[in-house]
Amino acid sequence: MAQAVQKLMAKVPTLIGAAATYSKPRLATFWHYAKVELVPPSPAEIPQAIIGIKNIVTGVNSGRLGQTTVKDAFRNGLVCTEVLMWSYIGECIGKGGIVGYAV
Amino acid sequence: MVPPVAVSPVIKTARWSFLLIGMFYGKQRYDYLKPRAEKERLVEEAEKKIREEQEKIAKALAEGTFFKNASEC
Repeated sequence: MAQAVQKLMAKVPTLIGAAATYSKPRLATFWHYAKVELVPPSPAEIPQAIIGIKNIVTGVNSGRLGQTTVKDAFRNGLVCTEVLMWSYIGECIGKGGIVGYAV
Repeated sequence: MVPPVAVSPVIKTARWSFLLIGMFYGKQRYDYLKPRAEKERLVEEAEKKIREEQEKIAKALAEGTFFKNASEC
């Protein structure tokens, strides 16, 4: 038993090294895309966003949004779901835990 | 590699504002739930004490040792 634990302890540095070499290129690709796609909006983009939301509202009122194809509607629905999921991540950050409130 | 996509500003603002809203909501809910959980813990402890007392009495009655220096009359 003690020998098995010792052997495992000896393997830990190699495992950590292997994990690092495995994850570095993947983290690099993630960062490469995240730098462009996941950044918060710059102050110049916020008025554009407000105009965009107004366009959506006028689209709803004029009935143009009723003309979207099912494929487009499905894609837009997925994007909306992803945007809404960010609020759950925010809630996890705010309550300081992943599952449940630590009261 | 596929070049990264230029995300529309609407989606970007919506994502990050939902993140902030979520953080606020989580903090608020935590602050609301924490004192209630404290009170409930106190109530639960008091009730547990009473329950344990009653269980002790019931057990002593069952064993016939409720009365001090119990002996068969």
